[in-house]
Amino acid sequence: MRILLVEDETSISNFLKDGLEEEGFAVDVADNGKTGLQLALDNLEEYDTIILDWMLPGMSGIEICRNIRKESHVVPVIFLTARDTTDDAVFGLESGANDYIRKPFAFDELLARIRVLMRGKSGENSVFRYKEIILDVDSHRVSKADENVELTQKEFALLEFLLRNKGKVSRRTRIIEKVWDIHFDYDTSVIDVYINALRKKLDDKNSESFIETIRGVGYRINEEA
Amino acid sequence: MNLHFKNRIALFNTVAAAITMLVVFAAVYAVVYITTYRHLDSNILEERAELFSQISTVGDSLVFSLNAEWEEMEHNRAEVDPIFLQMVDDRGTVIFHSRNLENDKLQFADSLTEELFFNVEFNGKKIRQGQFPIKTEGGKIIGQLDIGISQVDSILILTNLRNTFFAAFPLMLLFFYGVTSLVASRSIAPVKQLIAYAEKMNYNNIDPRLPLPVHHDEIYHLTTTINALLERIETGRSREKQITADISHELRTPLTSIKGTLEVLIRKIREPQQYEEKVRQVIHEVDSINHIINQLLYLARLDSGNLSIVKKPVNLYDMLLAVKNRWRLQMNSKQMILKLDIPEDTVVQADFGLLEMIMENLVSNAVKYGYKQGQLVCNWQADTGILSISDNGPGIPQEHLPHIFNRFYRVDVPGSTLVQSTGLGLYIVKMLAGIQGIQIQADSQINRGTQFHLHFNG
Repeated sequence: MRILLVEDETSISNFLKDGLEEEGFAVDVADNGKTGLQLALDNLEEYDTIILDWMLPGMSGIEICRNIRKESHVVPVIFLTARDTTDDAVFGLESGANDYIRKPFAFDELLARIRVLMRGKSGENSVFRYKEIILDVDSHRVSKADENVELTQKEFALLEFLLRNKGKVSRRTRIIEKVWDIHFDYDTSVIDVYINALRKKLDDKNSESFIETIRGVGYRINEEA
Repeated sequence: MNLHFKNRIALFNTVAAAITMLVVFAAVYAVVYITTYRHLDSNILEERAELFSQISTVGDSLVFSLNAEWEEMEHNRAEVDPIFLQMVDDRGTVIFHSRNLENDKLQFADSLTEELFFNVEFNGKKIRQGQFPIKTEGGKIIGQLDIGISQVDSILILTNLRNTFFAAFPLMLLFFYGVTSLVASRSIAPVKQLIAYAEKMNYNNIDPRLPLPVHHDEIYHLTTTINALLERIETGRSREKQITADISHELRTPLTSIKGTLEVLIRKIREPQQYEEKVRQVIHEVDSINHIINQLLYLARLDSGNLSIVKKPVNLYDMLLAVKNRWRLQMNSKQMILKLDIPEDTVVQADFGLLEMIMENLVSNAVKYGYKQGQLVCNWQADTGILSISDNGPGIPQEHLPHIFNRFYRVDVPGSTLVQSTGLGLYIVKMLAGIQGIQIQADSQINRGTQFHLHFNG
């Protein structure tokens, strides 16, 4: 799950990036409006949520949002703002944003809202299953046969991505785009490391792995028989 | 007394009119009074002249002939304006009286030397009486002639006059009061309209302006004055709103950062150095909140003229080094450099706190507005006593340059890497410099950078 964060205050973008990455999101940060819009338009398909600060140097969050909406109505947009009147909220939402959160906000609240929006975007619920394996996005838990399984953030994000695309082949480049952020150097071999880790933690003993390798292309979790 | 304006005007006018009317009446009454009595007196004198022409004296004896004059009707009858005649000798004996006197006597004086007119009651009727001494040729008074004339006519005239007035007086006053009240009410109508409009306004709604009256009179002037006042209040209020919004924005940024950083930090157990790093960041944010609050305090003190300065030797190098350290994190994140081109032993005379605020504001502006990898240079020229703080940032357009030290002035250049600001920073710098005798001046070129020069010997 990849997020674009457009925020000029580094003190704010730093903790957001750290916190969101710890939750398994890939986060790209732009510190001004123009770069932010450029990133958004170049990677519209890749971003699952765009977080916009309202007041940005170069171009306001409102403008960025309007420009994004010309291209896509799918990607959820959340405004961060220090403005606090109802008019501002209405104005923000009318520009095409899906949600609006006032500074200073609780990180958990932002997280919850991002998850709600992503669920809305994909039209799915937040719980994914494969046989006995259950992944709950909201509570950020994975269990197998009702037993909790500890996953790292990247493992979680990878599993979530594969489960979301259950039955389809997830290409290695696509996995990189969705699970790692833009600064990743596209060495896709890192995926194998995480796939192995997932297999180790979740595979049944003495049977085939629940993640199928499609050689030279990517990976797939099949629909249950 | 809580009277309406129109009633007060009407009352004042009515009282004035009442006094005027009373004076005029008194004058008229007096004139009429005097005129009627003069008329009576002249009648009496005419009568006397006629009678005296028929009287003559021989020695001390009186000789008069009874002829038609004495027997005129008016002297015989008591009704309708009679004229009473009576002659008395020097011993007080009535020697003649007209028939209409019957058995009564007119009042007479014992020793009359001069002729005399007076009013007197006679048989229940008011009469005007004249007493005339009868003298011999030698001048000796041998008797007197009394002539009485009824005052009925005069009294009637005067009574009518008085009654008319007393009847008309309250009616006229009432009428006058009504008319004045109406006129006053009509002339006060625009004021009432003003009140009605003004009452609809409150602190949150001063948008509508008062409607201007048609006539360019005092009310018009008052209305335009009030409208101008409203305009000023509104400007001040929107500026106050703006500054509140800006300050809350400025405060919320570090608060958001503190809250978020700490929340993310405690989501799980971390390494000690991570805690230390984050806590340092938080301390820095707390410092920046403190800086904003200090700005507001200085502003409040500047406004109230309550800022005291204590000039002492201040080491400029140490001060700038401290400022540099406080802005290290921000500068690092933008890969900016601050060069101190100042001898370490540079000392100036200044108020420490105020000078620090000046430096803090100038450096923070340069860091906030500056480009990535930008450079800041603080240069000291000992011979002229000028400290220059130069950046190679976006610069300030020439047309804005003369205004940058104005309160609330903001340079909003589209496309520039401009950060939200209150428009107070440079105003505070200018004021704080001014009160300790430091002249400040700015030069700037677009895309080349801005220089602030502080003249310490100025």
